[in-house]
Amino acid sequence: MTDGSQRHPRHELDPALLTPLRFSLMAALGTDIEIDFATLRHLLETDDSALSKAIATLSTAGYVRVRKGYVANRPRTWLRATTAGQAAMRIHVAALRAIVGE
Amino acid sequence: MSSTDEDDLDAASAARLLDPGAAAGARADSTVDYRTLARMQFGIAGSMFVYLSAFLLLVGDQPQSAASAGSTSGFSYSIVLLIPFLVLTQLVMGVSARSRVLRTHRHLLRITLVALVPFGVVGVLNLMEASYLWGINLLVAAAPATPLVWQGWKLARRAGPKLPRVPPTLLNRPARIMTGCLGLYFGLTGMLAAFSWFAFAGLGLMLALVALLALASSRWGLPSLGSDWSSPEWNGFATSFILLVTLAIVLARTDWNTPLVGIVGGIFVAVPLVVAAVRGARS
Repeated sequence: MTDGSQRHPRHELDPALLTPLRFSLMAALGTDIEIDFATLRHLLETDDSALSKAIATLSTAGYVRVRKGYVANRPRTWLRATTAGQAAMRIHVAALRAIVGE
Repeated sequence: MSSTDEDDLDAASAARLLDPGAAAGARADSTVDYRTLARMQFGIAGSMFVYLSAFLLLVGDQPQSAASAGSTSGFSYSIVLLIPFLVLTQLVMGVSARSRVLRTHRHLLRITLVALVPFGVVGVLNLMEASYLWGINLLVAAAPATPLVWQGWKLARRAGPKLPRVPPTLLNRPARIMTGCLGLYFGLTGMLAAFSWFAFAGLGLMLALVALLALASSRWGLPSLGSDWSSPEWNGFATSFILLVTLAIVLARTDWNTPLVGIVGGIFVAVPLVVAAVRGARS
């Protein structure tokens, strides 16, 4: 085990962001985008069930905020990245890039 | 994450995670309707400037007692200004909802609120009957609108080429009815403002607005209406808005404060939205 300043970048990886779907979801939300559930499902080319599970995990981690509302009497759900989620994503991406060797 | 996972994540695996993430971010950005968002920002900025400058014009040079006096004071006419502005905020929520993908501006609200401080200061100066240059009212009204215009300009720069015009289709029935009712509501507000008992009628109009706000989540609500509207309805709303503000200023600041002017003015206020509802075309 090395000292803290020489830790392998893999230690900085965030378990909540380690699946491709959850990582892509956070990448899609970025820093200042709010997207509704259906559009997100289309963008990420996934299904309702997988997306719901990914959102539940990220929401539990405090990385996404879910806003529910109605449009023309139909329920609609919007998602956005929280400040904590954005910070976690930055650290995670930096760790991945370090592993890739960029 | 387990140690096994960590050990398995080599450079190639990390690259396989990064690439789809970057693609997802780019795809999400490409779905943002920058043109609509820019128009929305410009609309909010313009209406805020009109509302704030008209408000200061109405309450400026009023004696302190007028704040709690009857219908002849500029303060009571401020209800006439407040109603269309509150309606607009609800309609804009509908446009946001229709957009599905939104750019959020975390600092914009904070900057706009700070820019509203001079408005509060000038409002207090008015209550204290302090005198100042009339042009300051315009500067104070422009202050909170400026960051919104700046944001709108930034969004407009990112907008893609204008799409070809889609053939118009009919508005749905609830939207047509509510558009017409909104026009009549604005017209009635303008008409009643000319009468001496407007202070009481204003309470009734505000209660009607509360009832409208209570419908917000239904298809009869204002956000739903805003999401259904297209250019003809928005143009009708803008015209009614400007006419109503103008009528309030005429009634409050000129000698034409007569029921006849109020009634005729109210009809003019109602017509643009009623016509838009009757035509009912949307693109």
